[in-house]
Amino acid sequence: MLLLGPSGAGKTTLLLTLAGIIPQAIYAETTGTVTVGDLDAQRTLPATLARSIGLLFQDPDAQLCMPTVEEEVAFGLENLGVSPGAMEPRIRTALDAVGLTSRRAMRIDRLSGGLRQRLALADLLAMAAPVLLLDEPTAHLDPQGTRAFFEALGHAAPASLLLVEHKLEHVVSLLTRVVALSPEGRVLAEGLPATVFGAQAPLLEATGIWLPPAARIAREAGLEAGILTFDHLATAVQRSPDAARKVAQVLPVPRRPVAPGVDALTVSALSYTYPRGERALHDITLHVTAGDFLGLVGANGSGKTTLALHLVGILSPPPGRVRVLGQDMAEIHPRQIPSLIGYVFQNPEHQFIAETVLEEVHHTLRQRGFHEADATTEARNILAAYQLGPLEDLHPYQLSQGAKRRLSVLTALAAAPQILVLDEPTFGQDARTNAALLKELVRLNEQGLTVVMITHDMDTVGQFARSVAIMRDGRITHQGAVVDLPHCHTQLEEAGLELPFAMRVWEVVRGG
Amino acid sequence: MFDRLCSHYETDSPLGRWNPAAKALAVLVVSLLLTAIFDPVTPLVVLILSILITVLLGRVSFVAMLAGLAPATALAAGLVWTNLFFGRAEGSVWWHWGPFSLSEASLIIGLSLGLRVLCFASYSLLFLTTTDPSRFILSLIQHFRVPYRFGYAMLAVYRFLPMLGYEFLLIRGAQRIRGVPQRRGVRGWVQEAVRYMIPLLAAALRRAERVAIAMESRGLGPGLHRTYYRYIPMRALDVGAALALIGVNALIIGVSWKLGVLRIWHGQLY
Repeated sequence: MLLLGPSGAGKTTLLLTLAGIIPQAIYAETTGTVTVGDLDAQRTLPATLARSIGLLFQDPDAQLCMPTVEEEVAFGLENLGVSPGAMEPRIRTALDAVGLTSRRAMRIDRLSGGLRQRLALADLLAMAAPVLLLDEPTAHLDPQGTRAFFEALGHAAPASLLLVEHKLEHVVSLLTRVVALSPEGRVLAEGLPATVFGAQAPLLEATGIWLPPAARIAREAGLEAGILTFDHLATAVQRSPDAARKVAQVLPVPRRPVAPGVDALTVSALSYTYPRGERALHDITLHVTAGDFLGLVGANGSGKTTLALHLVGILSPPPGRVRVLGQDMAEIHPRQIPSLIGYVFQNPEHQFIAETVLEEVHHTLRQRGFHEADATTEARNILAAYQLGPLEDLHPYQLSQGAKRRLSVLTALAAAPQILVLDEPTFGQDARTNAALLKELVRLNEQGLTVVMITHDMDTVGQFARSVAIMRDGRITHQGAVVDLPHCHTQLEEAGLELPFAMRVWEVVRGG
Repeated sequence: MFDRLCSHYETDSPLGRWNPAAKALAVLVVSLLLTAIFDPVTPLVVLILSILITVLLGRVSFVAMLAGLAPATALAAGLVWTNLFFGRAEGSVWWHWGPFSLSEASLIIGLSLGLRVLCFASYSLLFLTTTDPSRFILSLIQHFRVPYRFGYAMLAVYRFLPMLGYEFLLIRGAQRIRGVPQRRGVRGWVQEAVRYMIPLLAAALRRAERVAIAMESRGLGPGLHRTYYRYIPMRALDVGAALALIGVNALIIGVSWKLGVLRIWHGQLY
């Protein structure tokens, strides 16, 4: 069963309540009852409920607690009181199911995020709880990690599964039921996947819930209901030229590359080795033309963030390696950096420095040379334009995820930079806030702002970026226009990525 | 450096195979013995022995050991230096000027303090460089009745330390490029520390809560019958080794007492 809803609708809260964490570990006022098997989830200790219900969280870093793979799987069994002799076969079966058998003696800190999530799944399988709750298990994973996770899940076939997930393409085939929550936390729609994503689709879209990509395209093209996956859509397109024509009309057209011009950013032969001795960047050369919108893509750990930190001077590049608008980064005074190139952190909290929302923007404007009073007026104007006006007296940490993201973007923009670098800006946001943010970035880009966006969401790149650079193991393996991505199958594959969904559909339409 | 020492431990050696809880207890007792010694010769012998043990029985490279001792050496040198000039003018006084004096007594006390600091550092390294932290904690739970909930919390904290370092780097960089003024002096330093602490703490607390919830949802709860996949044995050899290490150091102290070099603490300030 799939649970859907906009951010803040209470999806995670519901899962935590089912597992007894709320109200027992996290206090809350509750009414009504929750029964797991024949246990009252509000009275039974979460540790006891763990025998009946397994919970998997979205953050691969914050749910594993042992040093090695096999010990991690054993941890749950130890808590159940399984005798050490009986553990071995259960550990082996669970690791087999998720494809981690060959890595069972490995240290967990050596595993990628995707492997960690599969390990967390193995933990739950070993404990053999009849119900599994998965809370956005692939939110942190790159496309290949996501696909492998759902393959493992399909292979393991747990008894009952309740899943919160935004990446619907891989999930649809596993589902028998879908429940959508409204922003207020009420049940909005419920039923078979084909019904909820078909007849009830307008209701979902009005609430800011995304449909599976194939269902969205089929709906826009006016095809028959029941198309939920890429394969369904491909079959429909191949069967009827009429459907192919309709689909071709609604597929988004990639943005054009920017006309050749001067470089806004030039990286030449940049290498970087972590203090611990691991090589993070190998001989990176990258040109970003002024006015470009570059998607910097790659799997988790491919070096995207490390490269970006060099672009904005948080990690200091050696002389001559990074040039921003023609100036050598090594010679720019840190104070001047924000007015040339802005940086939006993956975690917005990292860049907050003030006590209130107003002061965050005010500080940047003062740095730009505004007078005290002017800065206040201007800061209020900026906040109002981004729907943050009523929140100006709050501490930045008190904002919702979406508002934090908006604030982090506009504190960077308030310095009036000519280049903006964003690290996974869509992370932790729901469909509607993402769409708003990306549209705003495109608008600013049309007005001349150069944008560099780190992401592994290829659909976002396909729809909003003009050009793309693919990173793998600290190297740039390809740089080119987004429209040319269909010719880069090999590079995408090697980098753990896949072609944007719309482009894959294009290929079918053309082929048929 | 500290970071490196804690993340690289050599466990394929006699010291590495030693039950970590027994090892910790032995190191603790030896350190306590040392606190009462007030002459420079005894700690010097103890120090040399501890380095030899770590290098020969722990297979830790001599260079790494010296590098690890470098910060403690700096501290020890400082202690010798301050004692030399500000210590009491006792015994033969070599040089005298106002409140400053250079005497035999102050040199001896300085050396003794400095060498003891090095002994503590050396024994800490002996433990840190040959111990897998998770084996240590499991062993504490299994043999010293440390509550398992506390033990697993410690393991989680240990796993998060490197992440904290990376976040600190990011936050400092972020604040620098946002043009946060660098203030001078103690007050400026404190303000800066507070500014780094808030985002670090916020992230750490959130992560701690998540891990606690994750552990609980995996069945870790109060008062349950728990089994252990990996048992860290406490063999007679482990206990024997602890007694041997304590005994050998007691022997050194005994010999230096026989020879008349030993001075122990009897109430003097330093």
